[in-house]
Amino acid sequence: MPQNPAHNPIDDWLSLTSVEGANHRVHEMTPDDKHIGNPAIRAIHGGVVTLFLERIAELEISEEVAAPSRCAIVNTNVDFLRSAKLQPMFGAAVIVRRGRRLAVVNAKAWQDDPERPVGQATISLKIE
Amino acid sequence: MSEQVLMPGGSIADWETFGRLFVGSSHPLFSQLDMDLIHISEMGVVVHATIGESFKVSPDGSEANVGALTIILDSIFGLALFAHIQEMNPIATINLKTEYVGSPSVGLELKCNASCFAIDGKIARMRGEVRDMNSGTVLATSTGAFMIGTAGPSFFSNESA
Repeated sequence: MPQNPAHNPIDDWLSLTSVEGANHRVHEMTPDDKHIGNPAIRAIHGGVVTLFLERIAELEISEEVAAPSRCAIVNTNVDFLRSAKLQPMFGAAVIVRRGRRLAVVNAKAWQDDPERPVGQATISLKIE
Repeated sequence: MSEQVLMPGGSIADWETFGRLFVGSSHPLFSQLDMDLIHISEMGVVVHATIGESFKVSPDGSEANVGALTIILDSIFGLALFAHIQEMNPIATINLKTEYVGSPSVGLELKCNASCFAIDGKIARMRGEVRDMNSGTVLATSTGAFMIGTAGPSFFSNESA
């Protein structure tokens, strides 16, 4: 299950870009129709929000792990705090603990206001 | 299980037809997972799925992103909850806990099941798993909590509830 965080076509699928901020890296996803869950409200699917959070956690760890080591997600606990509308979604991840073989990362996603997140997750990754 | 369910536009269909429409190819996300209903009842749902090329981890490999499994599980949890409560009440996922225990690959045929194992007031607890359809190997298991009767519209509605 190891996944190379450096080059991943899922970034294209998510329309994911990353920008270095003052304190941490900020990731942006530009959603479109293929990311919708409930078509009645045109909200981003919860699984897609989860995938976004997992991916930015992988990217955060990839900065810490020297090649050819790779990381793989062990498990994810995600809370959906608000409906994610079909508009740009931003995210940031913070490494809680990084050992030789395991890392734990907290990730948060928001849209209009970082103080009003649409989702947050704790993601455990193994490093191989 | 009641025989009929209200469909978009006010038409009436049976739950199996509803389930097929729910996971069907007309949905832009679910179509990338080639989902097809195998079984639906108050006891749970079983869905066949195949992970599409969109979820490739690398351009030259067949390994798929595990996030595809969470998309499937979150989706069929919703369907299983509708079937369990026998109502098209608006619902929302509160949280999900997913264990990734196997490696999915693009084109792998999956057997996915989900059921509601408890309802406490407006909170429903769901559980499910995704297996390799041929080998039976578990690829992911998940539990989740859902809110029943949210302020938003239901899946096919054009109006707020």
